[in-house]
Amino acid sequence: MDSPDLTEGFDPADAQRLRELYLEMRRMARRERQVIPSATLNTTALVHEVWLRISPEDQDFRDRRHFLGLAAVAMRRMVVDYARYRLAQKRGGDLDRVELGDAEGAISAPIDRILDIDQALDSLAEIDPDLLHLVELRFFGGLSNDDAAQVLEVSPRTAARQWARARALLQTTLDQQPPP
Amino acid sequence: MTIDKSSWMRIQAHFDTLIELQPESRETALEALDLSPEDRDLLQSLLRSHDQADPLLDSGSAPALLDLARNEADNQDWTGRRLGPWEVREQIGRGGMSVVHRGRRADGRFEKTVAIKVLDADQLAADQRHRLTEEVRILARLEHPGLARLIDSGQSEDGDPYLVMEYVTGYPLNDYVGENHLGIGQRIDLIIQVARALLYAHQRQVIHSDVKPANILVTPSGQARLVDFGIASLNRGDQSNEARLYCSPAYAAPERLLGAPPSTSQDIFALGAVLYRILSGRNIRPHDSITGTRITDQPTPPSIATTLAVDETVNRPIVARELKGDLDAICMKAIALDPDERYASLSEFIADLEAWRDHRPVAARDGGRSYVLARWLRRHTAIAILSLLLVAAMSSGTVIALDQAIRANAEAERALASRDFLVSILEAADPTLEDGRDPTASELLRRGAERIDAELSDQPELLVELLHIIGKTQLQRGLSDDAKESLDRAHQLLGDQPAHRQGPNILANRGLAAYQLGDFSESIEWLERAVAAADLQTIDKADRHGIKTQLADMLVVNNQPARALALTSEVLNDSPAPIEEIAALRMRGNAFEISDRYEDAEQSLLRALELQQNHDPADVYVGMIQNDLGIVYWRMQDYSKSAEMSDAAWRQKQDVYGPDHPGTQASLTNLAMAYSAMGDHAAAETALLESLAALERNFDDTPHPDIARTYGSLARARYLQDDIEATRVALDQGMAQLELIPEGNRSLVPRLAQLDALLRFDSGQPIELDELDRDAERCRDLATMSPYSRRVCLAWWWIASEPPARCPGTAPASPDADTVASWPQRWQGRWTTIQQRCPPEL
Repeated sequence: MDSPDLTEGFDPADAQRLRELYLEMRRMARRERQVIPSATLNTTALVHEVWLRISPEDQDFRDRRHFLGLAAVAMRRMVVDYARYRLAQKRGGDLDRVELGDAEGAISAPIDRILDIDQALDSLAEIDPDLLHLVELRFFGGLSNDDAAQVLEVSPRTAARQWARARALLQTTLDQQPPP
Repeated sequence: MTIDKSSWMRIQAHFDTLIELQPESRETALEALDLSPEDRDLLQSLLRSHDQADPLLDSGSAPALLDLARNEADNQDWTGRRLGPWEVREQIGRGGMSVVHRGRRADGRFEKTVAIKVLDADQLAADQRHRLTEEVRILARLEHPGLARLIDSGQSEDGDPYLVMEYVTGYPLNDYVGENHLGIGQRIDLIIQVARALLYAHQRQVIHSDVKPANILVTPSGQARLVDFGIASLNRGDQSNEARLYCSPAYAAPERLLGAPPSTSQDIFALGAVLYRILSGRNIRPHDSITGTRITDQPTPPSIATTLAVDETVNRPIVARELKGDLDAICMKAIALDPDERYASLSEFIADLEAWRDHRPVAARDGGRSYVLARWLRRHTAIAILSLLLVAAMSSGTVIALDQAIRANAEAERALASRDFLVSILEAADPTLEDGRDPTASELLRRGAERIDAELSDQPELLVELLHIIGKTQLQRGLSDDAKESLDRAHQLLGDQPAHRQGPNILANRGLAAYQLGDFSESIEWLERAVAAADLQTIDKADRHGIKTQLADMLVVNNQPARALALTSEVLNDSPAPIEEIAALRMRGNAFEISDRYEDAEQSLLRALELQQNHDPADVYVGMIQNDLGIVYWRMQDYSKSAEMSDAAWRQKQDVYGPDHPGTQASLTNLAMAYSAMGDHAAAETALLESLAALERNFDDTPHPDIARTYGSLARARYLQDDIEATRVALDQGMAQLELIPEGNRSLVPRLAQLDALLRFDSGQPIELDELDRDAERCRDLATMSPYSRRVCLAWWWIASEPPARCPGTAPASPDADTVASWPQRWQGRWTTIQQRCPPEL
């Protein structure tokens, strides 16, 4: 189904970089608004107060969005290469599906789904280019709906609606593809 | 085959509408649409896809599937592989950055079984590989009956370093002591053996850095041997926030947990903690809580701890008597929080242990503590705990005024029983009973919870109520682990009394405990159950409203505004009392805010503020609402209103909480952020200085990321006032602070290095372009960025375009003339130069 050398394009040494990028993205997405528990707790005095930890000086929203946006695109490339590499590593004689990431609490899905989704995303970009970046942020970047919404400068509600669209289109595209 | 784009364009709006409907009603709606057969087919397949669950797309992501947040090493299995001449057998242990396997030499030249420890190369920073080699060289020289010998070391083909050590057959200290029912004397002898081995190592400049029962193996002949030397002292090369501690929190010295490098004094502390554990059956920090300030809590002396021990191997009454006095003093000296108060060396520690064994006077017991102070503290503790419990009891209706009690007999009985119980807890604080030690309030509460279980078993309803009160009190004091335990017990008892009137409140408070313990989603689960129970049961309307609002609060914290909005409107439509209405309005405002509906948020919060000011203008809640409004205005980019609100919030909270409370701090920081966003850097500076003073009081001398961050903001505020000298002072303070915090936390403090580079650039020193951490793309639009970012970018353009280099790409978009005119002369000059090098496009 693919070129014989699936590991092409991924240097195992990049695994660490990829991890770091991912962790940094998650940190970035959460950094700005910190919720601190209040000292008084009872059923009427409520728990949370908000502390802004980002100054316009050191990291304006634009910068942050900019970083997250670029990072998600980079993540997609690296993640796909990495998935290929992992798949090639684990593969024995045939192309059977490999269960990975099924450690405690983690989701379990065949890793080649990532490659399928990557391909389907290319068709999605042609059908509805607006949805492309959202999928990159959420699926490949691992951002939550709300964090992705912030990067795209839309409301979380809009992002959720677009996600429903993208999800259905992706799945339909995947279903229509001939089985490998 | 792909989906037809024009077809999708025609049906996408229908898709949005249809997925909002229940699947049953979709069919009819679909029929009613005027669509071509192709469009209809596509829409139908999309709807099918929509309904079809997909674990990967629904709750997963590619990084999660690839397990990027976890470590590769966790998946690696060495069993059956060869490492140099060694054959790796089954895994026998796993640490934070290593795995240990049994093994033996493949060529049979060494008969004995060995332990092979493989370290994860990814986790070792480059400079630490070098340190590892050094460490191995030192370890190889250690030769002592109490230490497992290092036999060999090397590297795997992938570059993972491994150590081959003598395999010690034996039991971990804990198990050995328990299974053999050792007496105190025998336990002390084992500790003395370990201390001697450790002393031998210390004299050769080797620190163990992870002394704990699991690392002390006792051979069948009764010889204690210390294994796993020194490796834990290698820091992990991970710069991330999630960097783990490579020591065992239950035995680690407080300074270690705060990020200090390993030391001999920490080994002494750890051995003291081991002694404490095997004598009392309890850890020095019960429940292994290492959160917040708990690590600086003075542990209870072992003789007291032992009365609470869960460890069956300790014979409580006898042990408590034997520990009192000398052994208490020895333990407490070894685990003193301040390293200076600990034994200065292991020889002193050993000398005291031997003196005890040989019945000689022990140095650690100086008996010189001020009697008056100790007594005052005891009384103080007692008063504090009494008032807390009474307030809690009264607010939950357990203790009622006497005249009412006469009218309601059953109530009166309950009130008396709970009063008796409260008094009995306090008796525990009686000096004559405690023999000169002051139990902490948290200890008293914990003991209380354990005792009532036994004493009130015939009054289950009251038992649940009191456990709830204790749990609530623990929650208020931030004793989250303890609160969780008390409330879990109360919840367990509720199984037999599903209609208990405190049921929903217990569930709700259990949710708050989960929140304090950092588990948001668990917190939401408990609160959902509380809300469900509150809707089913006839409980106080106020409680029901409170619980719903609390769930809304948690949902907001967890970024789920939709349900929060629904819950708050339920409360608001159920004729709430003023304070309930205010709380619900506030949460509604917050839910709007995180949905980006700022006008709605503003409206809701202003209404809450108005009601609160009418109801009780002195309440801290005024400040909390103002703080929220400050955030909303910040989001609306109305910084002057944001500053106004944050300022009001800060003042209000200062009056109620005092200047150092985290809530007060939050508003002060928000105020400073708003000032600097407004461009009022002098005002920002004043606020930041105030904030620093409070932070430094709060953290005493302990370094903290917030302090470093605040110095950074201060430096920027000064820089923008063009006070270069003062900027340098603040920046150096911030960088010094940064050096002191654990590496993993440094990324929480951004941009200090950048400002440092900018300052050097500004004073004419050469700097590297990379130091500015910018690129052409991010520096393109000089017109809209913040003043500070603009300076950074001007410096970037100036260096990047400096001859012989050429202008990098297209010219930057120019800021307006007024802005440029407001800059200091030297920056205007630089801008002119940049424009000459990068002429604006026509």
